[in-house]
Amino acid sequence: MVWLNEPPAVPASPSQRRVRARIRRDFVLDATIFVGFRRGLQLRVHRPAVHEWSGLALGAVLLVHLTLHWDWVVRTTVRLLRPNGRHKLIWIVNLALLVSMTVCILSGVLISSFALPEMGVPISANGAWSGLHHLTAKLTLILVPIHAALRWRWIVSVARQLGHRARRTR
Amino acid sequence: MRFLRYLAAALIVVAAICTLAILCWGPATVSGTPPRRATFERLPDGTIVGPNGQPVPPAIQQKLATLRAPDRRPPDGLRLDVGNLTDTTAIELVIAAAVVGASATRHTARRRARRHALARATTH
Repeated sequence: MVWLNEPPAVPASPSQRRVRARIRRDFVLDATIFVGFRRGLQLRVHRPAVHEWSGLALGAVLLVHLTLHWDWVVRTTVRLLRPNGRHKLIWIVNLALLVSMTVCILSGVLISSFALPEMGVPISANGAWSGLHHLTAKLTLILVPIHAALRWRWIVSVARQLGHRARRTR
Repeated sequence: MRFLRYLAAALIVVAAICTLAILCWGPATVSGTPPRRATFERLPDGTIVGPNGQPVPPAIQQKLATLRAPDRRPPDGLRLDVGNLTDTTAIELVIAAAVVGASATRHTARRRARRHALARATTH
């Protein structure tokens, strides 16, 4: 566990500072994805155009999220052969979430009636994609809190450290 | 450089999932004209105009005037709406609380077992 703001006995080395900055960046990005996903889901009825554009943006941010944690993906996939139940569960949940969100965004793109036509790419997909979009959206809604809750200790600890930091800088 | 390598790997995985989904559920086709939405609008003077912006014939106007807006009240009993912020929050909170509770219980049980083992080891 790396602490963001524990009182250092010795000044933090450049590599420690880099790790802390990375943790802060990951936390902020993850929180943005969470809020963006919920807001996009909420706007699907009343503001469908905003729902589609935010879905496309979410796809791009998710790709960045996956890229930033790619070393974890590789490390955990290699570690799967070892008997460690917790990491296996997190890995399976993350894989399910990746598949669900990817299919949700892909099907959303294929049934798009605002964003893609506005970009000059009118697409017509068969009816199955609409059902698939709703199914994967519901599945994602279930998997996102599980994904976050499995990392609740990390979230609480980083949020606490960020809170301390904000109070100290004030 | 490492970021680009990881991004390429992530893109390959995402593309593989997309390809698999398209193979399973059928491809989409790029259509020539954008899809038209059948939306009717009532102008301030009461005239109803169609998707093309032209007033619809009087007979259809009369028919449309008799139509009532669909009843959007939720049916009796518990019904969760995924698009509703309160319902979504409720679903997410319940799931997150269940997972955190299970994880905390497991963590406490493991710590208690470790403490018991330590106590046994020191008394014997």
